[in-house]
Amino acid sequence: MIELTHVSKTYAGKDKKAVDDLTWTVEDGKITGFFGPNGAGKSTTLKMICGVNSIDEGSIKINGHDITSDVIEAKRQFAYVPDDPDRFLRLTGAEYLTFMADVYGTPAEKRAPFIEEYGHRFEIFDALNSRISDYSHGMRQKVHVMGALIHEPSVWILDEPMLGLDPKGAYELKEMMREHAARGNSVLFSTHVLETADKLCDSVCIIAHGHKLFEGTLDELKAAHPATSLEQIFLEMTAHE
Amino acid sequence: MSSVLLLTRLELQQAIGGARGAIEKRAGANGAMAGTALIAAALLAGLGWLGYMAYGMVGHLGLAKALYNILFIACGSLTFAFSLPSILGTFFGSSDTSDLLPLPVSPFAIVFSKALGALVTAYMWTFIFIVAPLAGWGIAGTLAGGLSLRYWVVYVLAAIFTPMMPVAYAGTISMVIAALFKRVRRKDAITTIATVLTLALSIGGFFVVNQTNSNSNFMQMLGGIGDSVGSVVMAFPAYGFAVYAFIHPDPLGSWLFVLLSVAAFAVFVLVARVVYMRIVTSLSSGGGAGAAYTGAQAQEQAPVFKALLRTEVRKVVRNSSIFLYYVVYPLVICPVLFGVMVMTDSMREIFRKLGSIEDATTMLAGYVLCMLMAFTVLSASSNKLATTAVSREGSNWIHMKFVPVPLSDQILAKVLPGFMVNVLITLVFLVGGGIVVVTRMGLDALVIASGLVLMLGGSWLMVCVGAWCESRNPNVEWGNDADVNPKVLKSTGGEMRSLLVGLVYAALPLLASPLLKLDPRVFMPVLAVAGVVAAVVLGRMLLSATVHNIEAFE
Repeated sequence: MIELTHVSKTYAGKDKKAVDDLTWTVEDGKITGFFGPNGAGKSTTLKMICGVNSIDEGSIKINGHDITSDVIEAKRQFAYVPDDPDRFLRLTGAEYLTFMADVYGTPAEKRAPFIEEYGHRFEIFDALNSRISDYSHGMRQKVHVMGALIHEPSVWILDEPMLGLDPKGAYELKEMMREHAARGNSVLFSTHVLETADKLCDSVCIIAHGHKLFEGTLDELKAAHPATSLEQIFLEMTAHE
Repeated sequence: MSSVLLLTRLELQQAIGGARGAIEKRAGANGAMAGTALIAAALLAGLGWLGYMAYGMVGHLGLAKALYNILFIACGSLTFAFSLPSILGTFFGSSDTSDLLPLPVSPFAIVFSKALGALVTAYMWTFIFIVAPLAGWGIAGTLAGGLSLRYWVVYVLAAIFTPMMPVAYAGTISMVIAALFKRVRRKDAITTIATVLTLALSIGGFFVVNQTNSNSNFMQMLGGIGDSVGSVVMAFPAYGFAVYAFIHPDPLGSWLFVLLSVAAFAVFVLVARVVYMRIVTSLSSGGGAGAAYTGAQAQEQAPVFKALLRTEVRKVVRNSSIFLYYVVYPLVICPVLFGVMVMTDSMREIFRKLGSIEDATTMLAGYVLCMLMAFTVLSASSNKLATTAVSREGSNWIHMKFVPVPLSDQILAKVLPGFMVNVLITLVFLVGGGIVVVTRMGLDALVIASGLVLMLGGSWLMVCVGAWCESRNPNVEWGNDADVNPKVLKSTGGEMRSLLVGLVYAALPLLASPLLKLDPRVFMPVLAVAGVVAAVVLGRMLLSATVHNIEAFE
């Protein structure tokens, strides 16, 4: 579970708040979609949750651990997959996974089965001895998803996770997200592809200009805007901001 | 021509933009310009003063030609050696050529602007070794009546044309080697091969230049137009004519210096035009796939710090340009270059004349020890692993913030490789050089060992200073670690500050000796212990501040 309470953030040198008094809960057992137009404050919010950016006001707790005061334990609770997979390019896939497993303290006996299962599901098992720089964009995305999940956290935070994935890879990742949420865990992901979100999300949060416009289930959102697609709902809501 | 100037400006903006942006952020545009002007004025004044004093001492000993030779050799060699990362990074390390090719500019304009960009950035060495010291030398000589307007004409020509030949060498050799190895398609491989061979050639060329430039018998044997024909066989033929022009009234020396310099640069540009485009459009950053994964690596769990350190070392070693310029270069090339520079006939002549002063041996041994320590510092300052610890992450820097590992551990894992390189550099100079000083000059081994310990402390503090300076404004807005090379890692000012700290450590024995008037066997061990303690305490404070800065960085 991720709990944001009256969170605000202003970047140095700017007058306007990037995120303004955001209160929001990402509940366990659900896949939560996080949408907003460009510059809405999505990346800022995700980075505050992950501890990359500082919080000016309010608090963020992950499974009860405050990201500001209980930093290390809070960071152990989640897996974060940024939208840029061009990282650790000079390591092989295996070295990267080993590094992530060491950093998160994953026991040795759990690593091999994880790599075996997810490597085959993503169809990159045989390429793990090659350098990440030799991978295609989609393969890089897959290995970074694996690296983030190797310590089996309860909270997944994924920023544009489907970007660059082939259809099978995207399907496998969606299945993993459903399986993870079905086990009572939290999945938070941001995307601009609303068709995917429509099929995948249990609940959504829509943000624009740093303000929360909507938080609730997809059914509640659609009930408030009958006979319209999620895309149209989104455009209408964000057009007034 | 306008497109050449536009593209050259782009090259220079990319070369200095990061550092300029960081400085302007803190001091504003006017402050940045004022600061730059102040540094240039300070260098001009300081080095000019040295040149002024040198005229009084060296000029009267009849060593003017030796001094000119040393300055041109030093300038040319350092320009050649330091132009390598600039040219390799500009031509092969950055990917902007693929951005420029679709634009309505000719390939020649792209190539010429890159060459001009490399030339402009090389003027720093010309300023340090030619412009500043020869300004003071010239003022002293003019006031003494020994130098006329002709000197100043040659001086202006030297200021403009000196870097052309070494830049041309570095660039041409890089292009030729890259063309010979064009079957090897990986960018990294071409960079590695070109760098290793050009560095090897630079060492060999340095030897040749030293032997022929300072070998008066060799020049007399060749005869020709005064002494200058003998210089033609030197590795930097233009410099022989420059030295000739400074000493003799014959204007032919000046003409030949300018013509040779321009011709060399023109050859570089033409070779680059022919070779570069053909190579760059066929390069890939990837290679073949490795052997199939078997799962063997997933059997062990390493401690977190070991995992961080191992990954950091892998990232350095597997990046050929970073490894060569930040590790191999300061560890291997700098000691060789300094050693050869010291062993020239000109330097030996200076030491011989100084050595005739009574009771100079012990004092000279002390100066030599401090010189070794200074060389250690100068070599270590080109090891930029600590001053680019976070910057080398590029867009991946956020990984440091969201992993559940204290930043203090991550920072320590990042600076330790830089410190280890500095330790090796210290051992190379102070054990290797120390053996010479002990055996030839009779300096006590305890004094040498104390100097070694003092410099180990200084090396640690240099690394901590560099890391702290970088943490104040890391340069991470340039891409991902596939693009890491010395060119994209703009300076954040850490190199100069850590150099100053290192030089203070190297100068401590010189400062302490006249103050304490004690036997070096007494004060050197005390100085070493005090230096190490200070380095540990200050280093801890600096690393804490570094962690705080990275924590606040967004």
